[in-house]
Amino acid sequence: MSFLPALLENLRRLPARALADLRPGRGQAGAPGADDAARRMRRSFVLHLHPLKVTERALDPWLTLGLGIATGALFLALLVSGLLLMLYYVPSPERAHGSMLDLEHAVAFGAFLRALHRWAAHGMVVAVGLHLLRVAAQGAYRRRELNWMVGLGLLGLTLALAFTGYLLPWDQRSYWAVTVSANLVDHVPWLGAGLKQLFLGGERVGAATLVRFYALHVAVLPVLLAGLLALHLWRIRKDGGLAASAGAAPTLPAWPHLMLRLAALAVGVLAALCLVAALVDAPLGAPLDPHQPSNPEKSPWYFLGLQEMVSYSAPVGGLIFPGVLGLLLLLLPFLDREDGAPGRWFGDGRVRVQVLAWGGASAVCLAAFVALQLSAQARGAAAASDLWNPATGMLLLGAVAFVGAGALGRSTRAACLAALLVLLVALAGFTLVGLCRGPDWAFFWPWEAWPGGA
Amino acid sequence: MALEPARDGRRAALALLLAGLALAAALAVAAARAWSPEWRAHQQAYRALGLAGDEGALGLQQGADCLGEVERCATCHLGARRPELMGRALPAPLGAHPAGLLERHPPRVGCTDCHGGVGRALSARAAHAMPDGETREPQLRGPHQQARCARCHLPSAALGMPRVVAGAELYLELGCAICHPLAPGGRGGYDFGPDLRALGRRTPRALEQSLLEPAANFPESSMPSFRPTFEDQPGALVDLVIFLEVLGLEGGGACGLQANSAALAAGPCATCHAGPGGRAGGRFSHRCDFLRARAGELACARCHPAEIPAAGPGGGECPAVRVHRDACGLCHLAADLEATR
Repeated sequence: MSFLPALLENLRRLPARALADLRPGRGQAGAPGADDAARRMRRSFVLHLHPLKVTERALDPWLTLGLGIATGALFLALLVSGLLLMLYYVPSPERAHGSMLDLEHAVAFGAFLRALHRWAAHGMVVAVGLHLLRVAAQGAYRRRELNWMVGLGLLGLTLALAFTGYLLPWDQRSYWAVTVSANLVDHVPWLGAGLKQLFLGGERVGAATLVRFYALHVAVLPVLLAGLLALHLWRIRKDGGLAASAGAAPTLPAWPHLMLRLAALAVGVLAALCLVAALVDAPLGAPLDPHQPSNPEKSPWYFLGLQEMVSYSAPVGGLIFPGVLGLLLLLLPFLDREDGAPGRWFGDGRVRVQVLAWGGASAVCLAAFVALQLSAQARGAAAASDLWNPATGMLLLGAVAFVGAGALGRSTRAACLAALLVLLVALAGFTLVGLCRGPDWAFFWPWEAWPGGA
Repeated sequence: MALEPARDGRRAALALLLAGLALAAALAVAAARAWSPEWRAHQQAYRALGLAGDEGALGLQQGADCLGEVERCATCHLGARRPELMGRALPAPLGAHPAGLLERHPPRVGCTDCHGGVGRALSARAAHAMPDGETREPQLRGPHQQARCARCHLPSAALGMPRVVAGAELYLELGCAICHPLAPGGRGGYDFGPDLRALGRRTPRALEQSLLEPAANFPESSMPSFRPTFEDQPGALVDLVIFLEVLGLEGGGACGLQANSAALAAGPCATCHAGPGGRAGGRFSHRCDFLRARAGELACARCHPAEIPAAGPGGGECPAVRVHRDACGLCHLAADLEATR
């Protein structure tokens, strides 16, 4: 056939061929034994997240609480809203705050987008944290060591993204929060000053910091996070799906039972997020003024626990506590090699009793330590030593819990989870105390008014 | 758990459908809020009164102040620049600007040039940013509004700024400039106090507090409390605060009044000792005259009462100036001083 007739023939058949050839999963339709659901799963890239058949147990909403999917949905919302915000935001000290005002007031749906991005960011930090807690509590890091590490990386990237985004509105709140948080880096020995210089692009938060944080926030960190997330999801499948479903024979087709549930959960999370964003505006403070520090200067809430500990003792809060917690998280899958009770919260029997008992004891001890500290502060008594404070107390309690729970429960998992729970209770408790701090870092109950009526 | 696959599949599909409906509802709420901003209600009222000549002309109204900063005040203050509406009783944001000032200013002077506030904002709460609100550029009210006149005009009672002039005089009399020099590039006798051009951006209440209780904002402050000074003259305190607000404002340079704003930046002395072009006139002699005339009031004169010589030729160099050589920077530009030495 010569050129022209062939071309005409191809053009004539283009619509039909496009429909046929671009259909996903071409060539698999006739796979032996494939039913409709299985074909659908094979055709879809996204649906490869889970195997064709799952156990009935995997459908139990209490198993994972859907925290991973919720995190993913929030990340998607952040990507979309972030790309739209990028069209208006200008990362220069002169114009950043003005572009925030434009978004808030003059851009169609600008205030909604900003609120959506803001609340989704806070929500993602919460969801990632709870997801990690869930995986740890169920011992689901076992035989998934690499994915546990990837997950820790994702937690770090999420915090870094939230933190870099915090500066971008360039208002009083963001400026002083980043200044205070950057000062936390100062407590890292030897490297502190250099690291701070690297993050801020100078001695203090300025134009260089804004550009640096912007580049990290919109390019470097999201790409890293998306890459690690892909690896994370792929590893779930490679490691055999949900840890808890190991053992039982998979009987149910994942489509529709599991997949529709996940979709409903993701859409439900997005719906809740949109409703919050539609009703609650994101805060935007006064344009920043380096000469007028806000009092108190508070870091974002996810670093507030550390800031509270730094207020007791800089080395403990800025280095030792986060170092110990990070090390424990990193080593968790290697310190605990027990295989029992997959998917059970805090293990089984002895282990659960130990972990929950130490967790409860830590909450009581924390309350007592903080009460002692606050009453000493109220009396104006000078601390006997910088190192003797609630944060050190909780670290010691964590060490005691590690040995105690391990010995009494005769289990490395009990030891690890008890110590982890003690440290996380401490972090949560110190964050709550930090939220209650007012001017000059004095303690105020939430219902008490601050002096000066700020 | 006995699970019927067919029934469970339907239930899962129903859950997805409900979640989708919830998402649609949430987006509808967002749309409803985005499409009904505060300013639309004002524009509807404006139209209902038959004031909008061309129906299509309304919508977001955007202008600029004299420095080119965007301001959208006219979106709600629709009658502000329509003098023909004067005398008509119109609801709050729609009326005309009061007579007297608007017509004496060129059209390129924007609303925020005189009124302050946040020009880009379109809700009353964000745009007006009341003095006690947490904002650096407060919409100054009452006598405080005089501060904004001094942004472009030299402070003078004749131009309607008596409180600015009174505040500038207080600033000199109380010796504020000893620790808080004003001239750009100039340093005070003592490098104690922070630059007031930055601190002047605080809210009036914060400025008052800084004067009455300096340690409240900055515990290590060595500044004395001026509470006794202002105990029985609260008006004077407001005067001084108004003058400090002047220092915190950026000059309206683009309005063609650069000479005036430069003179203002040269120091508050120009307020009282305006020479040619509005600059502070004279050099050492002026300073000595000033010191001598206020010998009883100045902080430095309290320590060196006998050392301030007579002014004029043969009077000798003022020892206060010699000792606190850099004190000249209170009023003079550093470059001027170099030329004199």
